[in-house]
Amino acid sequence: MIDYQRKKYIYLSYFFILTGLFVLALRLIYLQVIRSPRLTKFAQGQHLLRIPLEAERGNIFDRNMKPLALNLPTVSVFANPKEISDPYATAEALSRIFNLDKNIFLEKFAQQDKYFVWISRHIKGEAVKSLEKLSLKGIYSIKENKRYYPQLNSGSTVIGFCDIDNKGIEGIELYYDEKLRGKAGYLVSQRDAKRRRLFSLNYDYLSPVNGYDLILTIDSVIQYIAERELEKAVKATGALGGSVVIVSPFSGEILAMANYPNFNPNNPGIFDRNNFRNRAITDMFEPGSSFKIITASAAIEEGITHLKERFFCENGAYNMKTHILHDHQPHGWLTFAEVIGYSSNIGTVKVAQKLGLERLYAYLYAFGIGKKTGIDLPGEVEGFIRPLNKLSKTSIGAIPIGQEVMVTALQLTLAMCVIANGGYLMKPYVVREIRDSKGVPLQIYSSQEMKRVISPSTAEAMTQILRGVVEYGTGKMANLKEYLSAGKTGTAQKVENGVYSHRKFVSSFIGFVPIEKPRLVIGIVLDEPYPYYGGVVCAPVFKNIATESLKYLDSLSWDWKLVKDN
Amino acid sequence: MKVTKFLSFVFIFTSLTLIYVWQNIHQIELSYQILEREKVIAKLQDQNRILEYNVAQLKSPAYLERKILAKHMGLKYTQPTVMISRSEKEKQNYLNYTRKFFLWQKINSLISKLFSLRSEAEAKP
Repeated sequence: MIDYQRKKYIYLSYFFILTGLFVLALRLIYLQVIRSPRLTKFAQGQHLLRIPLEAERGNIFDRNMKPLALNLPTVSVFANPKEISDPYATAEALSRIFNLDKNIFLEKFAQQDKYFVWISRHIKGEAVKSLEKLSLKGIYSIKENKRYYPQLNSGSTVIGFCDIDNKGIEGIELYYDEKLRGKAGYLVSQRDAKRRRLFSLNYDYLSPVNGYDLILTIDSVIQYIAERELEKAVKATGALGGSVVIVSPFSGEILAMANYPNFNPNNPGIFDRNNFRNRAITDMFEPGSSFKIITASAAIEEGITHLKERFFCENGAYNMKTHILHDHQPHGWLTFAEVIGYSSNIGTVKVAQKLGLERLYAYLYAFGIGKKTGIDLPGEVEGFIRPLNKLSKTSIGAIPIGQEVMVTALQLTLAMCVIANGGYLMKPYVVREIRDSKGVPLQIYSSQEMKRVISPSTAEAMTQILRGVVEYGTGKMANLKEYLSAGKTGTAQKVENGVYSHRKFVSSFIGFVPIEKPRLVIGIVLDEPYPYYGGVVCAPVFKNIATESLKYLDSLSWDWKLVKDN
Repeated sequence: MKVTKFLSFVFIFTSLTLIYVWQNIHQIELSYQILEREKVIAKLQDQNRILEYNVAQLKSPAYLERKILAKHMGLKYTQPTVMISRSEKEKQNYLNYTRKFFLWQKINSLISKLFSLRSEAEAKP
């Protein structure tokens, strides 16, 4: 009896235990099999962390690898409005740190549908320390890179700048934005109960591709010399602004492109927007007498004239039936070389009349006038040439002397390069090389001849003529002591209310040095300077820039150890 | 005998389990250390970049030229021995003098505006 009862209790216990185990097993199967995907996802959401990896923007260097644009680490602050428990106190604390009205922060905290609102971007050291001390709930900081430009204003209109999200806005930063930007990556990592990241090799990782570095053709020392001399000239003459372009004539490399006024790309917001533009390629003007280099080159190339042919310059007043053409100084008989040397409008127009406008136009197009140069910078304009079938009665007396035609400073300088390099129109370029973040070259740009415009003998003849301009002509103030230079002055009237002004001028001087084997072609343009003669205001700028730049270029080839020892 | 075997099995099993658990804990500790090192490296890299920027700025032609100019100007920091302090009376006399000077300037410009008949002469080329 007792045995039967004992067995009964034992079997009953077995039954309850087995039933319990069976229920547990069912629950286990339900959790591990049926609900597994959902629970795994939920667990991963808690345990795993997806971290975006910012791609670093590529740096920009000058031709000697001096940095022109770099990325520096900064701290940006954001808030999670849902986590802020005391918005008033938090806003009060932030307003003290950032020196802003607290209502600005309260408005941001009111956006309860958002998890992320910016409080401040790229803040400085003191504010960062104050924030760290306070440890405000719902306020977080994140590391970001900000673009900085160590050369400050120098080259700013060429390099451009980036916005707060490191996107190129102007200049090279804009033109090459895609190459500089890079591609962001991500890392999926484990995190612990305190939401701290754990180092782990097992999870998803996409490596960020950093932006490419750019090596420019610009020489930052020559750029600085050009900017300094241009600024001095603009301020001394009260000009509205000016440009200097320096080109290597045999390669088309832009060694310097200076504009004034300019701006500091580290703080562009405080400058006038007009200061951002690269006047050397965005502003067109009537070049005046410096345009005569094209008329003269065309006449010599076509065999219309030669250096010693004499022209009567009508003692300063030439009746062209439609109007009277004047020279700035009366001349009698001049050789063709002297016509250009003394910048006689009458002599030049007489040569152009022999040449004919159709042939002249062919040379204008050949010299690149009226077309974009194709430089790798944004905002270039093509200039203006009146179409042949829409010429005015005064055109024959205007176009050959650089009126009724509009060019940019770069176009005029490249036209001079044709003479300096023996007859080739070169394609200008600013970026020489593109490298990846490890320094491996990806693309190398080299000089590109667009076409032959004039023969070497014409170029040689033009060099002699332009040497005369500097030796005895209107460009005497561009004569250097140590080197022989050549060039052409220009003083063009601006149009005011539909007529040529007698008060407003665009002055220019375009030249090259040394004439034996030109290393630099320098174009200077000043807008409304006073005094206004190109030979008076621009030629000295050419002299100063050429003297200092050549000294600097010569010093690059010195043996510095010898110099130091001696 | 069976008990000894069972106890040895339990001992071995427990030891292996402890070793496994220790490994996991150690792995997590190492990952914390690696992350700390990564933070230090990142901080040093950031400092390096800031230094590179500072060097680039200090080597820029604009800064070097200003430094050379400043050197040749012969400016020096003032020494306490060359500072001359004025007495209160001298200071007051100086203030009175400057006030009278600016007042006279104002009167002068008012008079010249009243009696001026044409604008200033233009410069000629």
